[in-house]
Amino acid sequence: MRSLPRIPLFAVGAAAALLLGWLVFPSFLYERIDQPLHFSHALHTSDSVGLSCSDCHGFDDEGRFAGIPVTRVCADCHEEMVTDSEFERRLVEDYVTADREIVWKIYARQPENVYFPHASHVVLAEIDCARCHGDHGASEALRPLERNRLSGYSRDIWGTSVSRFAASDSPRMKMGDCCACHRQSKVTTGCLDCHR
Amino acid sequence: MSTRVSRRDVLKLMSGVAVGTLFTPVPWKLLDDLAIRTQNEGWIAHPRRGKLGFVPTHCSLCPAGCALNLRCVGNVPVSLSAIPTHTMGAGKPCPYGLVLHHFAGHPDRLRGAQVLDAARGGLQAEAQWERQLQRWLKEAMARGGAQSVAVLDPNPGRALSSCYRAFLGSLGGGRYLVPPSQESLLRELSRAAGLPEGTQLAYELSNCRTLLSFSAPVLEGWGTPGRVLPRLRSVESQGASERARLIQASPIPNVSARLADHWYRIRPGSEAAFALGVARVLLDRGWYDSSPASREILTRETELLSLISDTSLDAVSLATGVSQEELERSAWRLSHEGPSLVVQGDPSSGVAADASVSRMVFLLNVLLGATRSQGTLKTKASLPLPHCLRSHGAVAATSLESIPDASLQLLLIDGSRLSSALPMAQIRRKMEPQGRIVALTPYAGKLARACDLVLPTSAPLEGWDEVEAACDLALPRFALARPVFDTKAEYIDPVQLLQRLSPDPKFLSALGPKPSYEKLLRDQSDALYELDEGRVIEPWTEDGKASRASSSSAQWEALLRGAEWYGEGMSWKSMEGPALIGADAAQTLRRSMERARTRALVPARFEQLCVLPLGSGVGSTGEPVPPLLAKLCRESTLLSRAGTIYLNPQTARVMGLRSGQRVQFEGPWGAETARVQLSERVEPSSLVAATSLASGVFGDEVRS
Repeated sequence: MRSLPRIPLFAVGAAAALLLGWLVFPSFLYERIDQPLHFSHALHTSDSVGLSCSDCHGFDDEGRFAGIPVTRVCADCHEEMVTDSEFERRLVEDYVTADREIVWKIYARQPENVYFPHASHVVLAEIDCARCHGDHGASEALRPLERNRLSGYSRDIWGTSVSRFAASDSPRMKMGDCCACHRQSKVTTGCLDCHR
Repeated sequence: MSTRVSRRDVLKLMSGVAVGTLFTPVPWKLLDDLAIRTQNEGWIAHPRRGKLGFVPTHCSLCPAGCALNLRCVGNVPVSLSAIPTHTMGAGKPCPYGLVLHHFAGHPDRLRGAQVLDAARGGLQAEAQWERQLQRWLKEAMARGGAQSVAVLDPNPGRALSSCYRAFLGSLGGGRYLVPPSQESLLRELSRAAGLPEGTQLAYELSNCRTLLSFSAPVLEGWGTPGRVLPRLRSVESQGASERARLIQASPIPNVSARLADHWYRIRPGSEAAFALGVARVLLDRGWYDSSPASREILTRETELLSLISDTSLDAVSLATGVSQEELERSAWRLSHEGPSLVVQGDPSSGVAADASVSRMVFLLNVLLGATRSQGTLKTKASLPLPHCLRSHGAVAATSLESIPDASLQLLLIDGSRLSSALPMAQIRRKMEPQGRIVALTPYAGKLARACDLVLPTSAPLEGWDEVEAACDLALPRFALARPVFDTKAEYIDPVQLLQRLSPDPKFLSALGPKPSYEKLLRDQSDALYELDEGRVIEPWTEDGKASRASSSSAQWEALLRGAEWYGEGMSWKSMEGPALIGADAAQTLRRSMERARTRALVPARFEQLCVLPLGSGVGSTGEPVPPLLAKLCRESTLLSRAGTIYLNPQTARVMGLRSGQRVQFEGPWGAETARVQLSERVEPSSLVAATSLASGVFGDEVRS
């Protein structure tokens, strides 16, 4: 019997933990949920179609954000097929004609105890949508929602970088990010401005 | 070939894993996610989702009446923000106002009438409350007449207050009582000034440059904080020279004293002596107002002026503990850095309930020209009576302390909103041994536990309420706080209750077969509209322009939308003509000086301490506060804690007491149990008690 060759076991353990922690853990932590329908923001905001964010994600008469567009908004253009796309056919047949709502998976849904007024941020402060939501308008397809198995929150809340060290300019929507932006903009807030 | 894995190898590997894990996102990400998960589990209540809406209204917790914008999901308010353009609140509500929507859901919210069960020491549900109350009223009337029935109204000046007074009139002359407060002090000032009975006064701080305050908590929610605080504290927004200077003469180290420009720590009970010293300097140096009105007053007050001139500054200095130089400096500031105003705190702030203080405060205001046309002390017009009450004879207001002891058989306390503690010890003294106390309150709090019958009223935002003008506003004001919650909670409408209790079948019949607080407020609004002098201001508009409503209905609609009515032109005039401070002022002042001097000369005996009540505001009432603020109230040094007494460590050492110990202390008002807190700021001869324990007992000596 002889002992193991002198393997640096401490280093092996540390390397294994780093590997699991940085690569395996994030993919295990988030479950991927596909969107119910393919949608290309890039196509709709391209010159050929020419829509802007607010054409579909508008504000109501009282300045409140109207949220994810309902099927009726899609039906304004897609009452009937305008292309020969398979995705459009599904939209028209399964949703517009059937008068069903599309259950979109929302990347930016905040917890129940948070109130976020889009009107004061987008209309009054003139903050670009991409500041928090990223460059959605350029996406060719809707990516799957990455839902945290423990908290139930979308990955977009934490941010794409699991460490939150890198890509500091990438959109993220935790309370600390809101506070940092408010500090930067010299806008003071109290707890109850955002929390119910 | 075989290998041997030693324990050391395993430990090395595990150590490596542990250290490596620390450099991965696993620990903090898991910590964060698990924390969120525990916050969102199914058993935790979540705010419902629904259409968001905004409802403008007013906070009715205190006369500041901050204009608020409620954010509602459906008909449930979930948060609120103050309207920054509001003249009174300036968009900065107090911590209680910020959680106004939490009050209705408090666990101690009363869900029905309750009686005090002395045997079990708690409150029990009472289904037959109305019959019992009717019986108590009949018994009280039979035993002691209408004079033995009283209503204690901590918020006079409302339409509901007029209703109470008319109800007592319908009994044949019941007593309408007001507890010690700024309003009762102003009434005392009005009496000291020899003004006709019922004349109300108001402080006007907008043109005041130097404010001398005798213990008034001017920086702690006094008057209308949105008007007072910017005048006294806002150095950033105004030039320092424009800011009014605050001179605080107070035996208690409260927040206002610590933040004042000059704080004179006078001996307890020596307010009148300090005022006398300042008056002496003003008169000796000729630094007083020489207008004919002031001269007229001074020529009448020969006895008082001779007492002032006979009292040396040495004697004043001995009685107050303030040096002659400081007295002279204060007098110089008041006369040379005017316009000046002198105000006093009520007994809950630690000021002696002593008429000589009010008289000296008025004399100082006369000497400083505060009563002149551009002065800082004004007369104030009161709201007209609602139509429905005009045919009923209303009784006049009486201060609680002025009625004889053991003279009340039945007392109804309006505890629907308490902004400062009620002097329960004093109230008990006024009751006959068989007397009954009935309270209207939303909570099973300290007040409820001290009453024989408790009737639930609406919590903020549940029922109708109104905002009256504070002591620092000479203009009559009327604003509504209408129900926002679509609540099914059972609460009693005070107007309906009074109508059912009144022996006069025609009482409030003008409001229709089913009178209500809402109808009374509508009637009040219509009466205001007829005045022709009122203007409606919509606080949320940027220009905040006042305009006259096109009709009474339009005015009511505007009020429902959160507008405010102001009686422009009804008042805003200074007092005119000669006034008389009072023939007995000199004697009262002489006695007060003697007491202060005795206190200064006789060494303090530790078993007999002078009680100084501390604190005002919702937190000191002993009533429940929303859970969000409960922790803040318990831990904050800004708020006096109900059930706590503060002692100097030296006093506590001699008495063998330690911090946190529960003690019983007693005085002429009865015994109280409280927890000891040590503070170097308390004088060795004093005991500082939260107002809910000792309000109205200033100067009583206590044996602990």
